[in-house]
Amino acid sequence: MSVDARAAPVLTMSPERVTMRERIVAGVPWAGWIVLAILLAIPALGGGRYLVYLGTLIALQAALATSLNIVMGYAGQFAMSHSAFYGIGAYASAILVTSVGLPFWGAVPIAMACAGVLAAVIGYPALRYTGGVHLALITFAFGELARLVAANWDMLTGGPMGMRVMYTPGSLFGLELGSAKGLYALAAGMLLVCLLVTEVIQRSRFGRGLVAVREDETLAAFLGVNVVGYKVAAYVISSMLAAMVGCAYAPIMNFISPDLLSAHETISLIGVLILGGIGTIAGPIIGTLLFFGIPEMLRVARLYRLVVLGVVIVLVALFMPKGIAGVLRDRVERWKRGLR
Amino acid sequence: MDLRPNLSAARVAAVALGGLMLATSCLAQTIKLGMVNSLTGPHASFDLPASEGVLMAVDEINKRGGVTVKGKKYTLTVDSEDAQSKPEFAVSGAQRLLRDDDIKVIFGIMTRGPGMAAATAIGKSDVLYIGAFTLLDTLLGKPGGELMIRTLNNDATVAKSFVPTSVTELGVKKVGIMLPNEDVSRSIVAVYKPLLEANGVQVPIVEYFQPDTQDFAPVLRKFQNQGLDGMLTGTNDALVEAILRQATELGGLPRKFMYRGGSGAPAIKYSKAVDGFTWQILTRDIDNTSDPKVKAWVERYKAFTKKDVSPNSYWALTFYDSVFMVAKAMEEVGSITDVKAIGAKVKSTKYEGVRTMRFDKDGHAQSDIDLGILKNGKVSSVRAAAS
Amino acid sequence: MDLIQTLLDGLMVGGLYATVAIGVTLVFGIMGILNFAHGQMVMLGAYTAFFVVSAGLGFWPALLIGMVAMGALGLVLERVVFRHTLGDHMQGLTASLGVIMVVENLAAAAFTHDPRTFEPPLPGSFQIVGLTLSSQRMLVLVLVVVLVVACHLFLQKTRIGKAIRAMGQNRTGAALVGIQTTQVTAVVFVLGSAMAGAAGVLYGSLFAITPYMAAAPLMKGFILTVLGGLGSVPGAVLAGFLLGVAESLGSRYLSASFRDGYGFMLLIIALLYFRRGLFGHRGKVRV
Repeated sequence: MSVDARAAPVLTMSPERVTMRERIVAGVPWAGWIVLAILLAIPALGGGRYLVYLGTLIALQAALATSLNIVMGYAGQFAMSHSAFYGIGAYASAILVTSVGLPFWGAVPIAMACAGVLAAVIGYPALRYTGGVHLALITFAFGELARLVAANWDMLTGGPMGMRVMYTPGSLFGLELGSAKGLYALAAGMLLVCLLVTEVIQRSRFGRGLVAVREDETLAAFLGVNVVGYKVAAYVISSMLAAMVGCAYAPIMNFISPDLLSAHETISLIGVLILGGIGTIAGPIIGTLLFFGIPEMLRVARLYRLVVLGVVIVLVALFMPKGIAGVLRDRVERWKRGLR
Repeated sequence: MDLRPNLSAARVAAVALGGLMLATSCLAQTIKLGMVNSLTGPHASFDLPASEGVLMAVDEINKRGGVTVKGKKYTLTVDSEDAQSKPEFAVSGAQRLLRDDDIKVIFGIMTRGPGMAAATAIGKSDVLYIGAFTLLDTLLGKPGGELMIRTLNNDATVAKSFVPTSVTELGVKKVGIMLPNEDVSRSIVAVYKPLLEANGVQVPIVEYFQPDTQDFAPVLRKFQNQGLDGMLTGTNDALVEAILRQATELGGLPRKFMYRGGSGAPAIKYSKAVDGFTWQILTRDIDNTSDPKVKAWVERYKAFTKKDVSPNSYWALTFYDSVFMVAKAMEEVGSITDVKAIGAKVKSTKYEGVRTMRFDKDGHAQSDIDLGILKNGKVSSVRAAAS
Repeated sequence: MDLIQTLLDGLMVGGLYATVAIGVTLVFGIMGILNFAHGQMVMLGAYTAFFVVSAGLGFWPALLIGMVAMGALGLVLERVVFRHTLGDHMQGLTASLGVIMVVENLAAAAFTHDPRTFEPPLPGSFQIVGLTLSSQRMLVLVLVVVLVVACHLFLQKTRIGKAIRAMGQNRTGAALVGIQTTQVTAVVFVLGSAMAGAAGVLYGSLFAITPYMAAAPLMKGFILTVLGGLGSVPGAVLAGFLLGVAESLGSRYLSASFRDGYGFMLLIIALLYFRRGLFGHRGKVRV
């Protein structure tokens, strides 16, 4: 018997069988996008200088978290080098613009390409093995090495005290990006790009393959998934996106320091991601809003914020590995099916 | 009991009080000053005393009657933001201050990382920025830096008096330079090496170490067996203390040191193992001074902060005098909002405060400093006039 | 002359790294958990020594108290956090990241960023066969060797030591022959943490103590774990001495400003091409 025949009764189920709950739940992602649009619009329309700056920072961090989500959330790999690629993107684009004289929008693809090549070179040998240990170690070492290079090669990077960045990106599609609101638009745009990439991956065969790899590599290999290729691809895409966001960091903050590449920053990022929920689209944004937005408005001292984040990471890792968004999604699923 | 007379009496009192407050608020207005400093984090050892100095000066000005501009009396208030020793927070702190249109003058930051970031953000607005980090000197006099002032002398100015005095006091003939690998270090070498040579000292070796080095032995070994009798090193207390400690442990190294930046604290701990140590006190020596102005200031500092002085307390004089200068400039210019005029006035004034403050037209400081000397176990200091 | 001094220095520094690495490799070998928070024990051990010495109790009690305190902390961490993550190695890694953030920032808040130092028991230098050697550094070298040898004997000769090695080879098999895996896991954590604590005390006797000092020993610990073979104590030790000497020679004769870089480069090369390390018997499945 062919598969089609057995699937036929399901496929021809009449539409009335779709419950009210299922309809509502199907609408949740749309509602999520609308909420996001509203949030993004706030600084653009009503913001004073400070709100725009805050929005820009949050958008950058959310973009970074979203890009990390691709390799950590969907592929399940521990990429400790994410902040390093962020910094590499920032430094590479800054050096290309200030020393070589490229326009901003010419420097971005080159910086991304550099990041991609580096990620492939580092990732391929490490990802040949199962388990995340090798990748975690190598990327950790790579991140610290990158930081050391940035801190010591001061002919190129300005050394441990960092590099001052005075340029602004040129206009794109007629939008002037030099002003504070323009830079906000840049950050928000990058966030949208990362989200788009995540959405596309999630719906694609590649994405499903990634999830299979995350759950059980050996089984995925048996099912014909090119495990190593997919893992490397996810890592490279993530790193390239991080570099892209890094290119925006430079003109926004006007200043790049080697600390940007440190493993500490990646660890914070992982914490944010886990808090919000890895493997979901909303997760990184929720996590970023919670971690950066609220304390920034309340001006809680950074040290205590990090302690709390650390405790949260431990608790979430032990009891709630799917994070807030994951838990919410599970709840919603169960409600949809009529369970309580 | 009949409460009604009491109620009406209360009403009258309330109205009178409200009227009085309204009247006084018309009479005593406030000038808001902004301040962004690293109150927490590794840079707090410099910035925290500096912030205390500002608050102290504001308190003293208010106690003597505030600032009187065009017949109107003003009290000073300070909005303070914590840069947490990180550039991002320095910028967001500066942004919060800039959000308030009443703030026309911002003080703060003594370290490069947060400093450059905040200065760049502030430079985009019409606000007078009075800072102290070394690289601020590179922004002065250039576009974007017209409304900026640095209250500490730059290396070139300091070295002109530091080098001859140190060479004479220590009696060195052959010196090695050992500094962290930063670009500030490169400019230090560019200033000090020629000056040393001009004062009859050979400098056969210059070495840079990784800035977060803990183990200085490999680098220190490069200075052994070269006939050196002295070393120039820097750039903060923690580094120099570690260097001194390991130098004395390893043996075979010079026992006379010149310290660019920071306090004399590292040497005092190792005074028995060291033959001579000179350092630069960019404000005033507050530990061994005979200057009555400084002594009086120290007493006021202790009373205001309710703390005893520590090796880093001399940084509290970084901005102290400049607050008075700003107040005086506002009075003389007759405005609390004309930032350009106030800035120009401050830069052109010579002010005899606890420090003698003078600036050039771009805002570089040319004040007098103290040089600390530790010799034969005894600590003293010498005043070096501004050149 | 100079060469000998540099070599001795390298051995000392390498020995310190090795002491840290022993804890990492043992925990990884037994539990499969990459405990990123291991470095925090080194930092806390150093602070413990600082406070004990400042209280006037002296260096040797500080060493003892440091080891005991860190051992106890390791036990607590194992019970509260890592025991629950045995099934999922990534979960353990994540949890350890959280622990780092908590410990490091609490320490920074409690101790402030000011670097601390304490008087070593043997300050200054001494002369021997024409060499000038730092007394404290030589003491640290001797102590490190003693610690490593003691650890080795513990693993080889005692029952628990043998149980640990058995678990490292085959966890299920060890349980089958009656080894109490949960107890042994706890012992491993305690042992590793105590070693890290000792390393911290020794670090503190030579270098400045700050809340963020854990990063460097941790990195070196990982490097050695991989270079020496995941789970192999002799491997980690040998790799430790080698790394220390390489760093010392490199900084002395090449560029001093890139010191940590030599180690990272070695690690990356080793991870990429020598996945079994020097003595490792745990390779990883190739998919």
